[in-house]
Amino acid sequence: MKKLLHVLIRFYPRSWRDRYEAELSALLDQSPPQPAHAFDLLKGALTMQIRRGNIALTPLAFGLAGAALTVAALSLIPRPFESRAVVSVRTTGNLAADTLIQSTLTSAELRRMVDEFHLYPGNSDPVEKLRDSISTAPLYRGGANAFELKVRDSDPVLARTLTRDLVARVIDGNIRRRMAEIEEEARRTGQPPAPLERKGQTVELMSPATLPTMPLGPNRAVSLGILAASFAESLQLGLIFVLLRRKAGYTPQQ
Amino acid sequence: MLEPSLLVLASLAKSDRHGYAIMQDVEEFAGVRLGPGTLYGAITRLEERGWIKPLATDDRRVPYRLTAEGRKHLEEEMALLGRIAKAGLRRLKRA
Repeated sequence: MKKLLHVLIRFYPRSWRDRYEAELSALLDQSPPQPAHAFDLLKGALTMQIRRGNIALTPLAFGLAGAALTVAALSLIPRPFESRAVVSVRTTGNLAADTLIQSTLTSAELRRMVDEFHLYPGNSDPVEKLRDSISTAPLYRGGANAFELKVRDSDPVLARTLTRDLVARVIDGNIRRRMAEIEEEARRTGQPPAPLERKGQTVELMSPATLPTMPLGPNRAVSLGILAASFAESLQLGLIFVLLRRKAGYTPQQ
Repeated sequence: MLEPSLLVLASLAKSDRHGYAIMQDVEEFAGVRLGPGTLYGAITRLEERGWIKPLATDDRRVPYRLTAEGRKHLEEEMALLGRIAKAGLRRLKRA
C-alpha cells in the first residue's frame, strides 16, 4: 500500500515534485497507510495538474482519475458464489436434453423452491430472481449429453443447497414425465405398460453440487471494456476542460 | 466543513510544524483527518500566497511557519467565523 502511495506522487507535475516530493514522501513514510490516501493523492495530483495547466498531463490525470473511480465502483459490486453440478441425459426419444432441463424450470416449480427455502424476502419477483440465478451449459462427456447446472447466490452454502435441490427436481421431473408417457401409451394401445428404463430419457447425476470457495470474478472482457471507456471519456473531459480554461484566459501558475 | 487551508493556518498559529505534525494537530483540535494530497494542496496554496513559509532544515520533513500576512488573514477569517457562529447561535435560540 505504502509503495502504491509513493508511486501516486509521480502523477503530480514535475515542477511541483521538484519542490514538495521529498517532504510528501517523508510524510507518507511516517503516517500509517490508508486506502483513502490513494484517492486523496490522486485528487491532489489532478488538482495540481489543472492548476499548473499542463495540456498533456491534465487530460491524462482526468483519464486516470476516471479509471480509478471505475475500479472502485466495480469493486463495490457484490460478487456471487456459483455452485455447479453435472447431469448426463441419455435420450431415446425426441426431447432434446436442454429442453428437458428447461421444462423443469417452470414458474410453479421455482415458486416451490422459493417457498421451501424462503428465498429473497422483500423481492417483488423472487421467482424471476431465482430463474436469473440459474444457468445451464451443455457439456459432452463419454458420448453422453451432459449438462452443467449452475446456481448463483451471495451465500455459497445456499448456492450448493439450491443446486442439489434443482438436480433432484430435474431427475424427479424426468421420472414423472416418463411414467406419464408410459401410462398414456398403455392406455392408447391397450398393452401393458413398458418397463421404465426402455422409455424416454435417463437423467443421471455425474458430478454432485460443488461448494464454491471463491466468489465469481468480474467478467474480464466487460470490466476491461468499461475501464477503457471510462478512461477515454475522462480523457476527453480533461481535454475539453483544459481548452475551455485556455480560452477563458487562464494563466497557469508555474 | 472548514477549508483545509484554514485548518493548516490555525495549526501553525501555535507553533512551527512539518506536514505530519500538522496532520496530527488538525485531527486533535478539529477532529478532521486531512489526507496527504489535501494537506499538500493546502500547503502549496498557502505558500504561493505568502501566508506560510518553509524553514531551512537538513531533514526531509520541512517545518512551516505562519507569516505576518498569514496571521492577519487567519485573524480576519476567525473573526468572520466568530460573527457567523454568534449570529447562527442567536437565530437558533430564537427559533
